[in-house]
Amino acid sequence: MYHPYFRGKQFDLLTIKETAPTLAWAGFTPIIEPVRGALSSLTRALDAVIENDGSAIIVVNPEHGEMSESGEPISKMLEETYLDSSEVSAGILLTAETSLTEALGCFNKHSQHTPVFIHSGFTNSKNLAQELGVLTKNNLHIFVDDSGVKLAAKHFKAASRVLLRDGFKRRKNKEYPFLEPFSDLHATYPDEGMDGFGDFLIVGDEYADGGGLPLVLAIHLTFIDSDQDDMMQIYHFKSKMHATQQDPAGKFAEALAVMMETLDSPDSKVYETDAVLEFRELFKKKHFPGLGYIKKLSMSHHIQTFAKYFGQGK
Amino acid sequence: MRSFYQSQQAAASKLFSSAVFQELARKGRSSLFSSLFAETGLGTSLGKSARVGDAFEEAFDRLCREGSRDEYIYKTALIRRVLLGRHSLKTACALNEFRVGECKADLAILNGTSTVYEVKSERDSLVRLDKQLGAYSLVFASVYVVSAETHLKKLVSSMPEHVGLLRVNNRFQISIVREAIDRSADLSVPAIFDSIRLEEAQRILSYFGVETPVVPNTELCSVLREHFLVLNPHQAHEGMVRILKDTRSHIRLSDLLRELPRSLHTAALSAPLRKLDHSRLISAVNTDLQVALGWR
Repeated sequence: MYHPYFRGKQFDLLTIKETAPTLAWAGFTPIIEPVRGALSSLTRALDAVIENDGSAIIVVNPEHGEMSESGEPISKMLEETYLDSSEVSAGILLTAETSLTEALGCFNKHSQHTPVFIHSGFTNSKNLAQELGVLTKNNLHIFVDDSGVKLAAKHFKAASRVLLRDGFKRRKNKEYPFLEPFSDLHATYPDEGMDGFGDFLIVGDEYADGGGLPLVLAIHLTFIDSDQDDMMQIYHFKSKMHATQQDPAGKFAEALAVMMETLDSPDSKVYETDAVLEFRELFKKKHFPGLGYIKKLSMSHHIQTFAKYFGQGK
Repeated sequence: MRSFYQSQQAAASKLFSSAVFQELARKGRSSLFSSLFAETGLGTSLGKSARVGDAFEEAFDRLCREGSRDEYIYKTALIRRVLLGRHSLKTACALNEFRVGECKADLAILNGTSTVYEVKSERDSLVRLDKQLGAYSLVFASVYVVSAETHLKKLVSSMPEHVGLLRVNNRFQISIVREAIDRSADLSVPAIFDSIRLEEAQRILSYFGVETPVVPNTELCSVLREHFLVLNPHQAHEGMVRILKDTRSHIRLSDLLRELPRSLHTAALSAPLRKLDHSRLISAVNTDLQVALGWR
């Protein structure tokens, strides 16, 4: 069903580890693109997934980060540690630069790990489908939404198909509106002929590329809007505008105060998830836990919100 | 002598960018290095046994010639003379790209006092200089502009009196055109507070016997600020020099610098490096150039 796509930085992996019970219970499958050379946090996250009888897809040929030149250590880890774990699949990323030969080579190499294809700008889908032969619902193909996605997906109708769409419109913190639509894909993916959906969560606005601190701090919080056909919307709670990068803690307190005011208004539709309860606790203690931690809470809340939305019918 | 075209010069200049250096540090190799070095056309001047380190030295030599010099060359001249020449990593500390208000100082040196240097190479314009000098004059005792011959005349007549002026000559030597006047008694305490880290402010206060009350961390900055503003400019400056010499020290880089070609010292002092990056960097600069040119 839901496939959140993580670039495996420290707090992404922590989010997966800590929400592993929720992910498993709700039947969600995280996709993890490892971007750090050290794999210990990744194995801790995977172990938590397995312990909870969940499932995960690990990209074995990352496009970004320290493993972008060679994913060999990831393949080795799958081979050595997770060969017996049917919960862990190998994800094969197909970009515009991937050749058919590479794709098939990667597929054969990881045939023991129920390989999953992630189509992201790949232009050779037709030939790939031919090479793969007869497909069943046990074969999973994931499609990152772009202009060519419909054409690519039509070659894999017999397989299980998941559509990933980035609902998060990234910009400078000071430019975020208070509230905006996030995505309706969780409610519409069956109409698009898909068996599941996914997104890139809310990628938190911590350290910008240069590694600096933001002038304005923003906390992102998603909710399902029952008055808008269950569309998902996103709040951006911001601190005031500051002239310096100093005092992220003080800015956090400002942004958090805006969040509390919104949550406590009678018409708030935000689920009171564990993550929200933790934000309330931080507000009470006037404590700033660090930008990465805030991103983790926002991501956890996003997952918990979907779990609650889909779990209501269970 | 073959001429050094602009595109080759630009490529040589980019060899010393933080992008190349970071890639070498993180991966022990750099595809950016191999493509940029090929663009410089300098390969032919090097022997078959040349290593990556030699390539950097050759590129640096070329950039040192007048007309080609960029900010990196000027900074290196300064660091060699002031930090590694007159002082050492033990007794002085270099602050690179140190943020003051909306500006970033090219280089500041802390020893017994504080001196900031703003580089205006022949490739730089002077548009932002007034604003930069204004900001640095609030935080550093002495302010210098380091400049190319081309800017000297204009600078002498337009800069505030207390700002000193240095020039770098053809032989890569620095000479003083005008001494800076020490203004450590007239600095701005709020500007100093806004330029340093909270834990540094805390240590400065504690050096002057002021202990910070225990408060939630979202309130720490405003509480510290309140206490800090009680210091006089002289105290705030003395505390800044004393504490930042320790917190920003590069002493742990001493061993690494010995292993790197001299042309990369400035890059090493400017980059955020983890301990495990050191060995990767050393092995990268010792790689045979022929092998490195195949880095993809």
